[in-house]
Amino acid sequence: MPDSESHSASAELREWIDAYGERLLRSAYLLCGDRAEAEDLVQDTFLAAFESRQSFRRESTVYTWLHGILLNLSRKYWRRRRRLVLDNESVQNRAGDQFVAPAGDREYRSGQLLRALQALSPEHREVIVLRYYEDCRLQEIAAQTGASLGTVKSRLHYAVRALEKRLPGEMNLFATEGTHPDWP
Amino acid sequence: MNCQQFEEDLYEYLDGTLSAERMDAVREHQTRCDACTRALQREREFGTRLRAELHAEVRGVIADRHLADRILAAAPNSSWRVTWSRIAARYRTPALACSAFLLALAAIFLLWKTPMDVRSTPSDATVDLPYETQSHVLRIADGRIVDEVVTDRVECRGSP
Repeated sequence: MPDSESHSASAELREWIDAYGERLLRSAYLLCGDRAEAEDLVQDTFLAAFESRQSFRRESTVYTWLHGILLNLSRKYWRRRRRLVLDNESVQNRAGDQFVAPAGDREYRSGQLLRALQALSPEHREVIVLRYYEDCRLQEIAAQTGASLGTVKSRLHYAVRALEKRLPGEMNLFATEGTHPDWP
Repeated sequence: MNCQQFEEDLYEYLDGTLSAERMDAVREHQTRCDACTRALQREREFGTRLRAELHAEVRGVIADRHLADRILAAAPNSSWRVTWSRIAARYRTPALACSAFLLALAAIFLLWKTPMDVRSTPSDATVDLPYETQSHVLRIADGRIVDEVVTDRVECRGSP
């Protein structure tokens, strides 16, 4: 391959990193809950995208395509992590999990939110991040996750309920009144 | 519309992706169902608060220069593969057409090169084909070549 083409491929990769690196890193952080792991996920996302860029048909935006790759990699990450947890129960006793900052503190809220997110199933975590961080509509979530619209609605509904159970009341994310008596 | 249908349409109503008819049905249901109206308001407030929490959570997550350098350093230098895959993708159809044409040409050439003696010999026979540098003696049975003996012709120039 001529040097100029190699140079332009690298330039394209650099453009992607500059344009979407930080946004992807933040999304990866919410998906995995760990800064170092998030950086690894983002690196793998860009490398996988770089390798398969010939097959990108530009039917979606570059960011949506990259985020789809990130979701796949984060699912693999959680499968790997679940195996590790099963193999090593000491993960339950990580120092970070035992530390509890004072209530009302930003650190406290952050710890509670991350812990609640990590306790969700990967599918529920994905829809929460896509809906409430990436601001995706239902149809966009369906396209990114490869699930039907009905499945996305159901996942979102149960994900919100699961998050509600795990977040402490003092975070005040949910209005105390308003749950529909006939809804599950 | 009943409460269950309202729940099913809730997120699409908030997205604004329902049909006009369905949007009207949702609005009409709200006018006569306090529970659904409160549930919709609750979802709106929760969405706003969770969005704010998530954005506050990642505010300190900054992609520094190291990450970009690390990714660029790890990117494979697969330029020749890229070139060939691009060429293959771009010229796939002409390449297939050229291949088919060359195959047809080769078939015609082979047919043409097969001596008329062989093609026209209907029954068992032995045919000697005196080519320029080699002699081919073919034994033909039932119109097919069953044996071929090739001997090099020795060209003598001048006296030894």
